Amino acid sequence: MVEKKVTVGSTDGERTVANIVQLASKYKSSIRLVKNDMSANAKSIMGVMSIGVYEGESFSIVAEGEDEDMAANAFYEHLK
Amino acid sequence: MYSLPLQEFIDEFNLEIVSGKEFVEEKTIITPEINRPAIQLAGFYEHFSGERPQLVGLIEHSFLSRLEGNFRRETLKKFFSFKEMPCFILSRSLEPFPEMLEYATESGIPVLVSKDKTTQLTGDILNWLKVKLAPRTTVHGVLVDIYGEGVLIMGESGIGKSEAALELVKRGHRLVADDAVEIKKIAHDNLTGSCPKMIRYFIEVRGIGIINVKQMFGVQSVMDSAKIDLVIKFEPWEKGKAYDRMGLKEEYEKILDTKVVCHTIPIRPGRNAAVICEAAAVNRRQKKMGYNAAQVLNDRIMQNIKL
Repeated sequence: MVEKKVTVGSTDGERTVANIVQLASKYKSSIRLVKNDMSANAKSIMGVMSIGVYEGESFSIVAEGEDEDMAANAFYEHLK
Repeated sequence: MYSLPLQEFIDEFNLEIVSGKEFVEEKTIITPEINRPAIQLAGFYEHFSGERPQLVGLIEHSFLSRLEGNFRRETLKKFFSFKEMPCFILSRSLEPFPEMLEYATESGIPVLVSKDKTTQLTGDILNWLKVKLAPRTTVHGVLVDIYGEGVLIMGESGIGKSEAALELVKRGHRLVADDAVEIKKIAHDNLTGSCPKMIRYFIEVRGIGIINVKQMFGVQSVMDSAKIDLVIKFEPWEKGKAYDRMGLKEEYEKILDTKVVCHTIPIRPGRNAAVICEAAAVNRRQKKMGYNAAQVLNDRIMQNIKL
């Protein structure tokens, strides 16, 4: 399991919900976005929408699986 | 650890703020308990739970009113020196003593008054706080109410949870949450699931996109929350894997340290997942009502062998 903290950068352009879900689907690992006591599956559109990825919000990226390092890093790069 | 803004508490119980209005915003409640400070006012401070809301009723009030002026001052001064108190509540519209307001304000503690009777208020507050401050988690799954049983369908992305939910809604059952289920442990045996506000009533089906179930199928097809009675796990059918054939032994899934009965259902094309969920829910209900089909069949066979 890999955990990485990230603060979301500007939300125009690349960091839409659809893009986040698409990115997550590329990896075999399960990827979760955690904020306070909420946690969302990054492969689920509804999940990502429920947690709300906005500019300036801080998340923990939790990846678990065979490609967890790659997944967590890719997410960090995508969201920061 | 969860916390609750004091303002929400004040609004819920219609409390009047007598003093310390300016401190309300920064105060939070962190424990689902309250304290009746009778024994503290009598001078005994061992094991004092100062972090709880303090509720004073007729007993404490009349005790204080009998104390001689200076002594009462000292008593209240000591009591209000515990600055961590989220609030101080008087029930039955009791009149606060002037020194109460003075020392409470000094320590930054709001003083509130309720019209309700003490015991009734205590019960209401405890019930409400227990739900509000319950341990919680979010799980990836779909929660549907099937014949009154809350069924949590879990499984990896793309296995067909949402599709099963759609079919179940079409068959007259009610959707609680799709994809993200917020679960609260309200009592030791009560896990209640609901949907995050943002995505309530919406469901995502691959190939169609996002659907509003309430708009499409009407109010009767949705629910805001449901107690979770059963977990159904979908998994891809694996050749050679042994699946439960009898149902004599029950498996459990642990959510927030509470065990919930769990069935693992292998999924493959042409297997109608919705009907299986329905059957599982009814079977669960029957078991709760005291009929266990697998057990009855087993007993019947055993009886035959004896004869």
